[in-house]
Amino acid sequence: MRAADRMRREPVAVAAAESLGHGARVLARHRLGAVPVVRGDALVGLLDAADVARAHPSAATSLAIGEIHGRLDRVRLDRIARPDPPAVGRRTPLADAVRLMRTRRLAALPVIQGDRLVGLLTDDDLLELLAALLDGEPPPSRPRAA
Amino acid sequence: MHIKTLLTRPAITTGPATPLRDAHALMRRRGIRHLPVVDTGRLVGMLAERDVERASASSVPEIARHDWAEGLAGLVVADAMARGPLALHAQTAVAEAARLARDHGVDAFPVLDDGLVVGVVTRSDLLAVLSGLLDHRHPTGLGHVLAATSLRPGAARALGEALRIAATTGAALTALHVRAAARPVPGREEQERVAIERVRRHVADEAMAILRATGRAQDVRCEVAEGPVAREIARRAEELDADLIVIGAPARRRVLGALLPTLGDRLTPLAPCPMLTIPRAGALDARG
Repeated sequence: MRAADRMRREPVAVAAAESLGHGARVLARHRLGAVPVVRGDALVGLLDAADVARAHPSAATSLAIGEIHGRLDRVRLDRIARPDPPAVGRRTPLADAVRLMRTRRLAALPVIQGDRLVGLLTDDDLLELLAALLDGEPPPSRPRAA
Repeated sequence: MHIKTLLTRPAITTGPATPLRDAHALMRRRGIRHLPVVDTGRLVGMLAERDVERASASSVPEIARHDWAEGLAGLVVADAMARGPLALHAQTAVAEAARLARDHGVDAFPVLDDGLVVGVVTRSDLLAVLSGLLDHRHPTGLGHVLAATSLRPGAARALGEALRIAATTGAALTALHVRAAARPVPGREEQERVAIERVRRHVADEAMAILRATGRAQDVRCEVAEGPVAREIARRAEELDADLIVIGAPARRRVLGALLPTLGDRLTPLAPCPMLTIPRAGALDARG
């Protein structure tokens, strides 16, 4: 099984010029642990829920909720998202991709062709695959675009 | 397979009144990202490093300016932890844990045995099971074979070899015939379509004949493309994520013809995967 067999095609991505607040909302809306950051088609970063948590005001902030959202909306993603994002090719063995996600602590791993984003492996989809394999079911159908 | 088998160390826990920075230091020291929070022997919450980061000063200076340093110092675990976490019993099946993690968006479960916290199982632990399973049960073999066909006699040999490889490895097989791009002639589009369909059927018939002869059942997709042969084969191999391209060796050529690049020569720098050239029948027989 290779990365291409389990990746979501046409994955959700956020533009590098968008705000951190926008990225955080995309993560929440699509229930993703990480979302690719793109410039055009090209993968340029990865925004992780941990990046959002680190940028979030502390529990001892003097900012009100509305102010917090305003601030997050004024921070551009390319300041926060990890540059040089980890990624694999479509033909990477899935087992190797899973190991990379574990060692780099990634909730989602972009799949690229050249520098173009073509897919996304998510830990949710991989957990579903694990459950199916352990129960002896045929692997779930390829994840839909998300 | 029970999650008890995934627990490798005694549970490391913290208490609700522990200063948050102490709990964070404990996580870092032990290389963990989740701490069950226990109060007088009872599980009351779960503290993730993510929760600590969220509660701590912002990484963005203009936001961190509003963080109140004395307030931060006074934070305790109970201020940041998730209350009433979803806990698993030590006898829970790993498959069930994977489904619960996915359905409830849980990163780490406290594991209970007789009401006592005996450990933590994380997504990462579950994914380790997956990579092990994939290594053993689904070794990465050939997923897709692309066979380049032509209408020349003898090309069937390469297709036959590709079919044999696909059948023994369980790989999918696509037979591709590339025609030189015809110059579009207005009013002749329909004839062009008919011609392409005829070629596609011819390739399909050839594949079926070989299958019948070898008595194999195999799903073969037959396609026709137009354009420079090597480039089209390479492009399609890339699109299909092919693991192997099978082509036939060129016909015997005279001295001058031998100087021209073969399909293999042209395909080599373009091919996204390994390539196998099947010799002509005579060439193979001559070698015994």
